[in-house]
Amino acid sequence: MSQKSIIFYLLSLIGYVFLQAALLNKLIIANTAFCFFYVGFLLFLPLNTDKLVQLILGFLIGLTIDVFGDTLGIHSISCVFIMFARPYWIKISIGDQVDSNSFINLQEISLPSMLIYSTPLIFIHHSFVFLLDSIGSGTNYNTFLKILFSTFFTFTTLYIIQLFLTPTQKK
Amino acid sequence: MRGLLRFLYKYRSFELFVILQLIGIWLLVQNNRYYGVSYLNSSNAIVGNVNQKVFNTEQYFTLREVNQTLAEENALLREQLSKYIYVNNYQKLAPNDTIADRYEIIPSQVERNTVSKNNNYILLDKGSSHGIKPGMGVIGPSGIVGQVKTVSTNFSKAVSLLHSGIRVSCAIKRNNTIGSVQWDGEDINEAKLKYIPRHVPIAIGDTILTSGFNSVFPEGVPVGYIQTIDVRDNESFYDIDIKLATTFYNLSMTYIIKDKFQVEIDSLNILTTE
Repeated sequence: MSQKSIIFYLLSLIGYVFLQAALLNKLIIANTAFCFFYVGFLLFLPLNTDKLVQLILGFLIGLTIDVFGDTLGIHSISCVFIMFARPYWIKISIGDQVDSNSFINLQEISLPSMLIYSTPLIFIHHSFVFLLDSIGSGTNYNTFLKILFSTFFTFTTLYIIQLFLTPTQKK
Repeated sequence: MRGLLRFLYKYRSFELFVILQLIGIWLLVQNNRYYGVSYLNSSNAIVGNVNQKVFNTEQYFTLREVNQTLAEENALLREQLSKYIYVNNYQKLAPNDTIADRYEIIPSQVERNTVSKNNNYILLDKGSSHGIKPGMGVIGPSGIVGQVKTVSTNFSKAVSLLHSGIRVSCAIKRNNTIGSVQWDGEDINEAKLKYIPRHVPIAIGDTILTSGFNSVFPEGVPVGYIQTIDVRDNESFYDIDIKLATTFYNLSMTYIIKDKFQVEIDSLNILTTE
């Protein structure tokens, strides 16, 4: 990874986490659709990132979001899990379209492959978040609907972000 | 040793994953009291579940005895119940303290009664010669029935609760939340309870009584029991179906409620609206 792209990722990391903690944690549609779009940072990490670095990044980002949202542990667990699953899932879902030096963005892969790649991971992440949350609070009102709508919401947001960011990531 | 190190190195990402997850779970349990509680609860639930299963199995072996005692108890209760209903029908509405002062109760027989229309009426065998006036409430042995609409010398016609135009001010017995009961025209045993805000705790089986906010019905006459509760996400009120206390299709005995202070209350209302 070049120095330039490291700076880019650092900046976007701060952007993702800040936006999530300050703004999107409060953007909830009908008490059902939540937007955890910081997951996008983890999903769109470069493919040649070391697995250990991925896990640690996932943990730290999850922890940061947890600290902001007062949900200690929930997002950390969810993020570490999807970061662990990510390399394997990439191989399975879009392994034939990307090589180890490429990025995951809309220029490299098509929208359908993007959907196939990202929605299951988002879904798993959200399932972890809402299930842990519902076990903890003892209310399981609408948990499945929350997971479903939030997955859709998060993906839509990420897609829009991708549309904005993709041109600047040109190699 | 080298083999062990190589093994550890080979699976380093999985090990890190496990370690981080353990840290996450530790954080979760340590820093959130609810999780501590729920951890305890779920372990209790497992134990409790096993105990319940064992208990259920044991129960099968004593079913015959249990059935026998239950049948005997049923017979006894039925006997008592029949006596109670008899007494209840004729004495429950006997005037007592404040009601005795304020309300006069006139027993009347149902002459004709419809239940199959959208707007149902009941013909009663008491009229203006017995002091009946339009607007008086009608109740039955088990709950409210309707309201007198027109009066002749010896008969009166009452609007049944099974009428699309009648609304009765009601309160949930448990917490005195005021709502309004209206028949929706579907089932003669069911009506809708409206305007109960969704923050109020209610449960299936809760009793609905008249609120006494109008002078038609005295306070505390049964209207029905909550049967189904529905909450729509974008509504601020519950969607409640109640089972009516009165069975309308075999209604025979009713009581007309005469409020002695009706004139006084009406004149007060006129004064305040002017």
